[in-house]
Amino acid sequence: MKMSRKFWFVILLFLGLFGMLFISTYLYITDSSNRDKNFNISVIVYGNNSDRWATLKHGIDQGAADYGAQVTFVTMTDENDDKEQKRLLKREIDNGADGIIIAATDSNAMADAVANAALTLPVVLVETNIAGVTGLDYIAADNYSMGLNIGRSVILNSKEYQKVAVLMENRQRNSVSERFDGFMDSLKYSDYRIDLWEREESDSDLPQFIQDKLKTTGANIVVALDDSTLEAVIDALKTYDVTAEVYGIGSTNKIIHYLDYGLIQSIVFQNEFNMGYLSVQELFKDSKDKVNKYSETEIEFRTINRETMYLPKNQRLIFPIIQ
Amino acid sequence: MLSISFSLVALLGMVFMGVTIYSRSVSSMKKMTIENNEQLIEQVNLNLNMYLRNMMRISNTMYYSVIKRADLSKGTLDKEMNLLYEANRDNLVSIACFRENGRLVAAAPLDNLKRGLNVSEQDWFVEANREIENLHFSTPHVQNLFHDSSFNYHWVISLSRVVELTSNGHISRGILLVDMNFSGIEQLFTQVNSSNSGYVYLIDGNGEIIYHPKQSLLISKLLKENNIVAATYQDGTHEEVFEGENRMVTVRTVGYTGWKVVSVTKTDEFFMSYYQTRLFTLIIIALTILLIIFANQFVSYLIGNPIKKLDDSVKDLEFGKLDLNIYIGGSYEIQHLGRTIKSMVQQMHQLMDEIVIEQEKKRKSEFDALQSQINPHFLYNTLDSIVWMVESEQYEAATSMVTALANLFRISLNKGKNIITIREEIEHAQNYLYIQKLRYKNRFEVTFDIDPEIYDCCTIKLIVQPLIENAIYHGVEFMDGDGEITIKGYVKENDIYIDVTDNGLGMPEETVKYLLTDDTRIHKKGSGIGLSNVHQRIQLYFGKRYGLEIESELDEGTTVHIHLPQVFYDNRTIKEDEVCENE
Repeated sequence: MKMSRKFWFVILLFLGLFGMLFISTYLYITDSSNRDKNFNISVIVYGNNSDRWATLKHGIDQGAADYGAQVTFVTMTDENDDKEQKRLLKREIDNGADGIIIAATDSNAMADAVANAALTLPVVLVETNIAGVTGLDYIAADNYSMGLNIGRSVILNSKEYQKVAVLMENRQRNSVSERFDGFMDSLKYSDYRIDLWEREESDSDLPQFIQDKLKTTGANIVVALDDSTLEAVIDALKTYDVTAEVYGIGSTNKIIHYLDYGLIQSIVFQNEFNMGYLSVQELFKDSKDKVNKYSETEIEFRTINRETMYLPKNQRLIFPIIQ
Repeated sequence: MLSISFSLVALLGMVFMGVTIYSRSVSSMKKMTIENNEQLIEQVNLNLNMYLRNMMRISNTMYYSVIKRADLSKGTLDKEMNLLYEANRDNLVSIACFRENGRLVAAAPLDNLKRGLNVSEQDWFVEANREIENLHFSTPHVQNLFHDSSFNYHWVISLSRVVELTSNGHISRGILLVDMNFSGIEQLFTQVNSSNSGYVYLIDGNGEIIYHPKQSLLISKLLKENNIVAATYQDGTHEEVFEGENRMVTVRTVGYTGWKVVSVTKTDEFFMSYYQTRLFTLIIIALTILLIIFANQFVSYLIGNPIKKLDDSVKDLEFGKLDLNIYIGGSYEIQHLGRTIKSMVQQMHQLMDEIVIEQEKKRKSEFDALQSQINPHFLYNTLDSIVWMVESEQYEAATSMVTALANLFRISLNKGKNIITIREEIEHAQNYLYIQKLRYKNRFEVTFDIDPEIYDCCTIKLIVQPLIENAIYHGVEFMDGDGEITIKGYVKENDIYIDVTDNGLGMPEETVKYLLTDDTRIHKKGSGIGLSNVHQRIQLYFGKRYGLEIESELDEGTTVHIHLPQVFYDNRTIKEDEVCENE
């Protein structure tokens, strides 16, 4: 049977297409292990102390490795500057971030910027919520209960009628203000004398301020409700010749060290590894569903002192094995 | 149909092959994975053994080469301990020796214990004292011994043992502690876990996790591991279902410690990830189906197309298309089939033509037979009349009659033609009437009323004369008064009618009915084959539409209508053998 040229042309065309399809499938499959690495996550945290966020970063990195994402971790030059954080947020979105994890430095001032960002891409709030905006993913420990627990530690470990000084730092963050509420509620029915230490604009740096206050007020117990303030208390006590029982919320290496050395009586800390890992998980959920689905995830917190910090269950959390 | 059946057969074959190859490759992959896992785990075990042996070697060296030989009352262990530490500092965090009460004897590199520390309550110390003859490996923990201002906390594996301390000849119990850096184990496992398929973790004899690639997730309860069950497994490969996943677990116990290295491979990851395998399989199936469809179309084109064309030709044949060209093409077999059908069709056509010719011949011979019946019948009548005339000595009349008979025969012979003009037929009838009038002595009157238009039209010969004969014999012969016979020729609705009417006795309706159909009746006079003979001849020649129609009423008379087609006579068109079939 005689075959026409057209017939052979169709056969060759078909075989060519078949071959191309096969090769592209093969290439697609061999390449598929790397293709999810295109998801860019920007993590914007408050403060200029990257050590403070080491555990959170560890969690985020683990999540990024599991889900396949690139992480950009951004800290600020100042401890607390909402304008800078807004600028960083904008910069990260402009640089093509596919999702944002943010620990807002100021719950009120950052509200609009975060809410606007959430209109264009998935946003997960960690550690502190923002004011007046609902419907965003929020992952944090129960801050009120953390405050409550640090108050209970004070009651358990110290004598009554003593003067308890509470450092009124960083209360622009909902997390700190909630902890404060919890702490105050825990001491509501006790006989402690409570002294609220609030810095004025004109006041010196925090460690100096604490030292001055300790000297002038004669407070026996100092309570700090966040990491940077607790570290400032350490600095004040270490550098200057003043003594006081210290209670606080936070778990930087420095805090753990001085807990171990007895400078701090007791701390409450949250599982920031979980906070980081779950925030990546939430981002991927939102990204997959193409919508910012509201979910509030509560993570675990613990209260430890010098005796309990080396218990296996605690040491695994406070001395993370960074892999 | 051909294409669909090919596709089905091919698909079934493909599914069967696919399942067979898949199951075989899965089982061989499984076997390979098990072997790989066992090799890998063997390698890990070897490295881990080296790590542990190193610890034991350091501990042994410290104990047997230093502590056993030293008298603490005369000197310290610091120098040797520091030397040993320096020699192994890559993996070591510290070496320390304590008295039974927890007081430090010597330590390297640091020797300032934290304040307020109760060493004797620490796990490694308690364990060493519990079974004094053994070496004790701890699970990883944060070392909590020495003062370190640099916020450094080390995850260590502790090897503790009871040692004999000699002081001034007096032997007392002490505890030797070698803390190895946990990162050594971590590195060892990180290397083997870098490949994509599966992972390896380490547990102690109780199932407590020493190392896991996702230890932080396990601690944070974001992930679960089947470690407690794995501790109960014997060395070898086991299959388990954990958290809804089928897994293959290979376990190997590490010497001295009772630790177990556990390798986990998800069954779905035998050769690729589950998603990739499925995708790959689907695409391969899709491609194969595409290929099969194409191949089938090709095969159909080669085989099915000629068959279809041949089938179409045969369908045309069924519908009676005569100028048929049977398709001949495709493969040899189909060409052969086409040729055979073509020759069959040709033979069939030939046979059909022959049948038609034979039928024609048959009809003509029937016609001729009927025609030939006329002549003796008429001749008999006429000769009878002549005989009668001669007997009654009417010689002139007999002469005229013989002359008329001669004329009659001239016309009836008509060069052997069966088709003549109506004019000739009427002339013939008139000749006949002349004879009969002589016979019956003008007992009847005959009127001819023929439309001149029809004179040149065709008729078959000898159809009017028999009707006149019938009119005479059965109509007017027995009448008392004068008989009247009218012969009327005219055109009606493009057909020719010649009516022969008599005013004779007429016939009952039953007689009329079988007059044209039943030619077996025997008449008293003549041959008795007149009317049906004429009727049959007209119908044979011109078709069933034509023929005779009889109207008769008793005592009123009879009219016989001859119905013929209006065909003008033309020697060139009318051939004697042809039959003008108009039906």
